[in-house]
Amino acid sequence: MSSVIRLAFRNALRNKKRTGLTAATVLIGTAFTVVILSFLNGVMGGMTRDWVDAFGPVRIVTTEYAEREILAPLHANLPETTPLIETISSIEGVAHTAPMIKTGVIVSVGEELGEDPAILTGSSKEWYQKYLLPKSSFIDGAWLQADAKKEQVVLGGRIARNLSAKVGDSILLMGKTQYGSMAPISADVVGIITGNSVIDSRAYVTLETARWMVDIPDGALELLVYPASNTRSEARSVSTAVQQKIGDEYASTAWMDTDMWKQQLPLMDSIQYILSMLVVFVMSLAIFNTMTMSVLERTGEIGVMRAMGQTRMTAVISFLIEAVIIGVVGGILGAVIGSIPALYLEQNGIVLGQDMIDDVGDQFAMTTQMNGDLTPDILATAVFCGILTAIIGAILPAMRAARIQPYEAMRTER
Amino acid sequence: MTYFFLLTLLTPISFADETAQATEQSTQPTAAELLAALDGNLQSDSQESTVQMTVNDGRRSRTFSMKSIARGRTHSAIEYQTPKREKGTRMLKVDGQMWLYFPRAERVQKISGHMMRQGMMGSDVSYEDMMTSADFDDMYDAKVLGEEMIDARKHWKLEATAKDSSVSYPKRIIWIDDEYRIPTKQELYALSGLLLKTWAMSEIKQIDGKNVPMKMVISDELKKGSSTTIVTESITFDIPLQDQIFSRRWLERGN
Repeated sequence: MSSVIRLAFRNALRNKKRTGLTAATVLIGTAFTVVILSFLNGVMGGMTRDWVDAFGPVRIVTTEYAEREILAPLHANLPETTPLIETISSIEGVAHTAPMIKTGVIVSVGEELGEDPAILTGSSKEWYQKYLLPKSSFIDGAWLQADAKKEQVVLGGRIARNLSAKVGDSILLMGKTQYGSMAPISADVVGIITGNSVIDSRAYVTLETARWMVDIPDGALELLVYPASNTRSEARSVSTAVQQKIGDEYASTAWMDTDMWKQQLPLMDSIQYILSMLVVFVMSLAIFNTMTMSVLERTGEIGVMRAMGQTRMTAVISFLIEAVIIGVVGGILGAVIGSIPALYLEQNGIVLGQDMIDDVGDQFAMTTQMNGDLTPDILATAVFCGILTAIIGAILPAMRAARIQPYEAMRTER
Repeated sequence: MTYFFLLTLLTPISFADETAQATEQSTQPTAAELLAALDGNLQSDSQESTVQMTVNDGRRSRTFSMKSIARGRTHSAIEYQTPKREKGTRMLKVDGQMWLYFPRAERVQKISGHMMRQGMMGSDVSYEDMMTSADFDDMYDAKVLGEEMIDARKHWKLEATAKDSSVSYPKRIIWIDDEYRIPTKQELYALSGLLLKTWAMSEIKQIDGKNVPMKMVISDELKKGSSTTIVTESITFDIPLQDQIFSRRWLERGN
């Protein structure tokens, strides 16, 4: 076996130019894979994480609310959240449970009712501290003050821009109670925050203020449950455990089982898969070409080796080892070189226009800066792809070499 | 706004010419005669009332009590007295414009745009329903379709068709009690022919020479199981009213 490996090394180094070109193809392909996968990982992973933080990894609503959510049925609320939170918090794997009220409001500055819609959000102080503020930065002002004498509101950046509102302004948030009555709140703008398209589309008040608006004094519309771990499997298992504990009156849904993500996740996975396959395909063609040329050049030599007793399998293995050598060298160098732009994109990202983010609305959590996220998994995947590609590209030429008969090689060569 | 004010917005149908039909059947009144009688019962120079409005959304019900003052069809003012959450909420309608005052927000808000189609306090009566009353007379043509018995009482059935299709209810079918000349039942339709609301009036009493329905039940047919019942507790007609009542000052401060 060692002689086959030596032969493979010798063959690889025999035509340094061609080997270098092949390794460069693998290198470029691997580098592209690193950059593309890390960027997609950063963008899609970031969008997913931000969305999950905003909407909850696991969400509890009443079954009626779940069925008619598009109609915003405020009457189908959770009237008493404290006992439910206590029950859910006792479930293994649950790290945090927060009440959440999200309701549509019209925001106006003057006396005339405006047409600027917003999602009024009210949740616990802990939820804001853990899941909103770490993802946000203040354009101006500060967060809601405890025990403020007058109602206060923090506006998302998009709402503030649409209203031309600034810190210190008094605005009217016109919502509805669960009974359908108009529910106006006059509040001072104390802060303007930005973070992503979801954060920017909302107006934030205390849980008590939101409860008054929808007239659910001790309840909420949703409970957001955060498992101890952020994996999809953990979210699903916590959701199942919660559902079993709280019964059929409520609907517990893990984020990836929501209608939107059931459509989006396969799409996002497909994009990553297709891009990776494209790179592998291009690299395979280059390797195939190089290896085929190598076999043709070495037909006579292969014939001699076969005449001297080399088996077909040995011939195949020799070419495959040569491909692995090229793949490893090209793959590792490609991963190293690809890491440079990948790390740059992780640090600096690509900046998108604010208008583009505003157009997204609050369905997706998009940020104005799209950063990559390079992980060891991605590097390992890219190197593996490089090696695999080299092997795939070498299989056909290697089999062709194995089929060469010694007499045939002698007759055609030299 | 009281039921009485609401009543006026639902009934003033302009007269369609149907003289020819009337002559064919001497006992059948014309639309003009019926509507003139309605006006006599339902209109007043001024009125003050206390009413209770119970909104039932098919699951739960909530009751509001309110005081209403109206002058003609163009001016009205309402102040909610209960429940506690709505106490002090005031509404003012002057010449086709409407404002609300919310005590918690300490703010006057003009109602316009899509808010007009919202149910007043979640009821089956929209703000638009109230607004359309001002020039309602000019909005419909009416004709008598015939007579029907409802609860063993003789009624005249009218069809009212809007002259302008942009009105809230382009078509109405109205049943008018022959004796009281009150629209005890109405069906309000969209342009497509879809039934939007039904409006029933009952418990008719004679007050100051007028036949006054003390109870109304309004159902938004697009909201399953929903109904709003408005019961008049007291009503007085033709009382002297000060201009200050229909002002922003009253809206913000009351009294």
